[in-house]
Formats: sequence, C-alpha cells, structure tokens
Amino acid sequence: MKLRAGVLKVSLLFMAGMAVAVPTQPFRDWSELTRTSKDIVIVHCVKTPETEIVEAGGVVREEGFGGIKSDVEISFALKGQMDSGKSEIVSQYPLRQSEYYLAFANQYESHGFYQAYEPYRIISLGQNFDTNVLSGKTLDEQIQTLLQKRLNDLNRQMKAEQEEKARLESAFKK
Amino acid sequence: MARVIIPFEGWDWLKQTSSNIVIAHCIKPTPSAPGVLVIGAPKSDFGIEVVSVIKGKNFTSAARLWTDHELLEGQNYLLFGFYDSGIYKAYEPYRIVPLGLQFSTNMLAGKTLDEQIQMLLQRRLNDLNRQMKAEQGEKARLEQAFIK
Repeated sequence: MKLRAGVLKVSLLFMAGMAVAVPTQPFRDWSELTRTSKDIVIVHCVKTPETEIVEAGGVVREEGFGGIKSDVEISFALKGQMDSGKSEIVSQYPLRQSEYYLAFANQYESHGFYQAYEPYRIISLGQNFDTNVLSGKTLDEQIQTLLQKRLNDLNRQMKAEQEEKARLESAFKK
Repeated sequence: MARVIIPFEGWDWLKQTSSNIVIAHCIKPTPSAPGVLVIGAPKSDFGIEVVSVIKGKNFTSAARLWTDHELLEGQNYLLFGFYDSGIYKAYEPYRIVPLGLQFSTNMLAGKTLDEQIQMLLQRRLNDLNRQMKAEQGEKARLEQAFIK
C-alpha cells in the first residue's frame, strides 16, 4: 500500500513536470498554422480566468497545462469537428470574458479541451462578432477576413493607446 | 439631454476637480431594463466593488459605474469621478485608468494622495508599454497574411 502511494506520488510529480514543460513552436506563417492546426474554431470566452501569466525576465511562468485554462463556448468551426457548446481552451494568451476569439487549436478528446499554447494561435475578434461574415467563403478566405478584422481593430486600439501613453507620460514631466 | 464632454487638462486638474477618486473592481454589466430606450446612455454601466478610496467620502462598497471607457469584468480600475445616488460617474474615457486583474491595495499604504496616484499611473504606463510591445509583434504577424 505504501509502495503504491509512493509510485502514485512519483507519477503525479512526473506528470506535473510534464505539464509545465510544454514545447512551444515559433510562428512561421499563416499557411503552415492553418495546415497544422487540427481544429480552427471561433470561441466565446465565458469567464476571465482568475490567474494571469506573469512574465519574469522574459520567461513566461506557466500555470499548469502549459498555459491558462479558460471556459469558452464554441461558436463556429472553420476546420475540424464542430462540437458546439461549452468547452475549455488552454493557452498562454489571456482570454477575457465576453470576447470572441479565433483559435488555431488542437482538440484532444483524451484531455477534453482545446490546446492552443502559443499566444499567436489566439486572435481576438472583439465583443461583437457575427459569423454571417464567413458564409459562402473558403477556409482561406474566412481566415483572411478574420485576420483583416483583427488588424483593423488593432490599428484603432494602438492609436488610442498612443494617446493614453502620452497622457500618462505627462504625469511624469516636470 | 446632451452630456458635456470636457477635454483632458492635466492630472493635477483632474485630481482637483474629481470629488471622488477610487479604485474599483468591475463585477458585471448592469442589465438593461426590457423595453426601455435610454438616450445618451454611457458606453459602460457596470456593477462595481470599491476596493480603495483615494479621495472623497467612503460611501458604500457596492455601487455602479457609468463611463464611456470600455470596462471588462474582473478588472480593477482607478477612477476619477463623482458619486451621485449609488452611481460613480466618470464619463470621459481619460477618467478611467486600467489596473489589471490582480491588484493589491497594500502598495498604497502610508502614501500621500499624489504619491498614490503617481504610483498607479506608473503601473499603468508599465503595463501599457508591455502591451504595446506585444501588439507591435502581433501587428507584424497579421500583416504577413496580406504580403504577396
């Protein structure tokens, strides 16, 4: 009995170590990402996770499973099986409640959740998103449409952030 | 029913003219009443929990926040506004300074009003610089999709 408990303890420690040491791949290009992602889905984040990934000295400290697990609802599948309803996604990208995201993911049924560790696998689509914009389009056209939407949103957001940054910096000018 | 939107005139001006400066934790958007059309409503109407009062009277921990700044559930914000009948009003977006998901008020202990605000603005500036750096990378990556 003592031996079994010891074996279990060692196994759990090994699994915990495995969970943190997730190999991540650098981004190469969108064609490869589209080709190698088994599941490309649009998800709606149900709840902002209470944990945050903290960057210390450029190293991401992972919270387990190689990232943070977020509760999501699958809204649309561009590629792979359409499992509508509630699910979970694990990523180093911090998902926020009420936002839609395009996820270049892999779903492993044995784990029961989607995995999209690298932050580039998650593309924010904002709080208001209508999947009708995707109808009648090929997979490549759908992805181009979504990336263009994100690029437009990001340009607007970065302009607003430049203004905010200038405003904040004015607090430290003597 | 027009609302007057005042341009930003500096942090000293904002500190002096805001009767209430608090740190708020956003809980949930206030549900809209069915069949009621609200004219001139702010962009965000959220239930909040006041976690620290930096200036002004400590009214109640649970309140509402009206602002034209986008708010997110679970986030903490420094707000420069005024309190009226259970509602903190801080319409202009510059009145709201995001402080992230995790925030401890311990860092403010023993500091003056000016020191507290400087510290919070510095924190936001650091976060924003990190965020903008990450967004530059994301932008370059997205633009790759349109290079032929």
